[in-house]
Amino acid sequence: MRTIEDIAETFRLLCRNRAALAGLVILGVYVFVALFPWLLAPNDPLKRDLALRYQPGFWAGKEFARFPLGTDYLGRCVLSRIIWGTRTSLLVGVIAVSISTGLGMFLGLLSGYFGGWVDIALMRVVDILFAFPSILLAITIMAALGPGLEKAMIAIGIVYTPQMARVVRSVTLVIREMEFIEAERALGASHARILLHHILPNVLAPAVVYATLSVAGAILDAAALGFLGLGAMPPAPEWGAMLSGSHKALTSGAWWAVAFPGLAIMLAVLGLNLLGDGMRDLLDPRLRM
Amino acid sequence: MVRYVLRRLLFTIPVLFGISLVVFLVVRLAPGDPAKVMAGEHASPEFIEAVRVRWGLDRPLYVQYGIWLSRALRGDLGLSIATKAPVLQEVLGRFPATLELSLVAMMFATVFGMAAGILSAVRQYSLFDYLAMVGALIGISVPVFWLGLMLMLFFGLYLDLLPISGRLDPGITLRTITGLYLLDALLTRNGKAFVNALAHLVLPGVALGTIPMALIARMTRSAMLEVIRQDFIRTERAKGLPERLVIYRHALRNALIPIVTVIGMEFGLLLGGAILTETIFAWPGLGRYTVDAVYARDYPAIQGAVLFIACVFVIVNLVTDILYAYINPRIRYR
Repeated sequence: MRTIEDIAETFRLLCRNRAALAGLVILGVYVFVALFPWLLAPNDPLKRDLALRYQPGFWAGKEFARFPLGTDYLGRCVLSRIIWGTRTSLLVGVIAVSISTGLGMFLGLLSGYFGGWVDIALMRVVDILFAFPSILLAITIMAALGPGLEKAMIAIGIVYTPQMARVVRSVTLVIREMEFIEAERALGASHARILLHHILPNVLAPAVVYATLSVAGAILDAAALGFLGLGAMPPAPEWGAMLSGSHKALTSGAWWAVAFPGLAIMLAVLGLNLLGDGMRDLLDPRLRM
Repeated sequence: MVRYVLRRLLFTIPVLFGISLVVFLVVRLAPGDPAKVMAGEHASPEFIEAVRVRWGLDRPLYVQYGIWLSRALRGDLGLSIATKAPVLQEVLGRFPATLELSLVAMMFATVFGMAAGILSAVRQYSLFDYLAMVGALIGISVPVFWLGLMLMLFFGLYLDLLPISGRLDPGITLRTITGLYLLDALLTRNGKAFVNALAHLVLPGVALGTIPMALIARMTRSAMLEVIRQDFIRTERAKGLPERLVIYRHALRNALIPIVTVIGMEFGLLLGGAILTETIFAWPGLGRYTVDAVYARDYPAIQGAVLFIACVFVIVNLVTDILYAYINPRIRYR
């Protein structure tokens, strides 16, 4: 098993990679914002005031400083909504990927370790899920489940499961054939013991890398569902949902109501991609593109 | 090669069945009476009963699947709740719009992505390389719908240079033959319509093509770098071959294999991205049709559209695999 020192060493090496460090810093800021939104948000994210709709922000002069990034179509503070939305978006990403990682590791370990008909059956299911473009599969599942944030997490979790299952399976296939596994088996270790104590630890590194990169995709997909009105329900502040009334905002000239939530999504995804790329190079050079 | 193609085709059949099963189950997972779900919330009791009998919805689940599948195979995907028209007819009518948008986006992505990737690799660690790769990283991080909105804001509304919705201006007439407007305009020698259709394609095409462009640029760069370091390239240079020939005739050809794979994969993914892009630019294609059907809870239309897109996706992946095996003979014998 990896020890505390191993993790510290990994962290130290990550910090030496400039791109990964940048990703780590960006992500750190987002996590801080998600943890303490009430410290940072200048206004109540839900408070509406139709008299103040589509107000510009700080660039328009001192008298607009109350809403630094302007207001949306209901006169709500865009900055405060972005800040509170951070929590929602990060949570959706992390929970959806936890679902896909749990399911994917379970399927991948079973498939790779036992092989035979278990492998064939599970991998056919994976192939079928792969036959849908990811956002189409998410929309299809949402069509069946109905809209809502929790359902969006489940849908995105399912969408990212097949890829995780494949990554874990391919690593398991390699480890299974190693001599130390044979030795364990000769000593009479059960399947469960071999899987949990010997194969699982070796699968963790690539799984963590893949999970980090999936969080980026999951946040994008969650925002897309929110944008389509299938994810977070109004008036909850969520980055994608903030963009769903954009046509009206754009034709009203209120570019700030559209530009800033999108920037928030892009920076978060950029941070995760930088970190994921760095981790991949560090932990598992075989996956390098 | 023939054996490889046949085997690959055979593998596709269970996947297609699986897709049909998933699409079939979508309606069964939706809350409520399936006959009511398929007939629409506001349908009359008689119509709901007719739907129940027609699709065998009072019989066991596997019988229902059998009935649905045999109809689907004969092209009967039911009637849209919203329009009362056959779903297959609607889906086929909207597919050319999506195909045209995807082709244009893919062309944009391939040309600019490969050019940026090759230049980056040839001038590794130069300012261009650095900027291109930072740009590519931003490109894969941007939400496609937000990029579309920003393009619309800047080029459509602020500069007022390009149209931001639809495929043609209302005043322009075009006789449709294939449904691909650019092609139709060429076939009927309609220059005005060609220019107008092209202008309508620019913003959605760029929005849809940016993410694949970034991925293609990254892939091209790394594939080129790998080839350039090999001995045979050093030999070519030592022979005194002009650098241009070394890069384009020898290095690029060998780097093409991974690049073609990425392009094929991305083309399939474009069909997914088109769902969001079409929604933003009011593009009358399959993606927008799907989203509208989800809003209207028009389940026959959802089933038909999803089934069709997934099948196209599978076919594109199949063609990519076969092309890949054609370019790279090693694959065929795996």
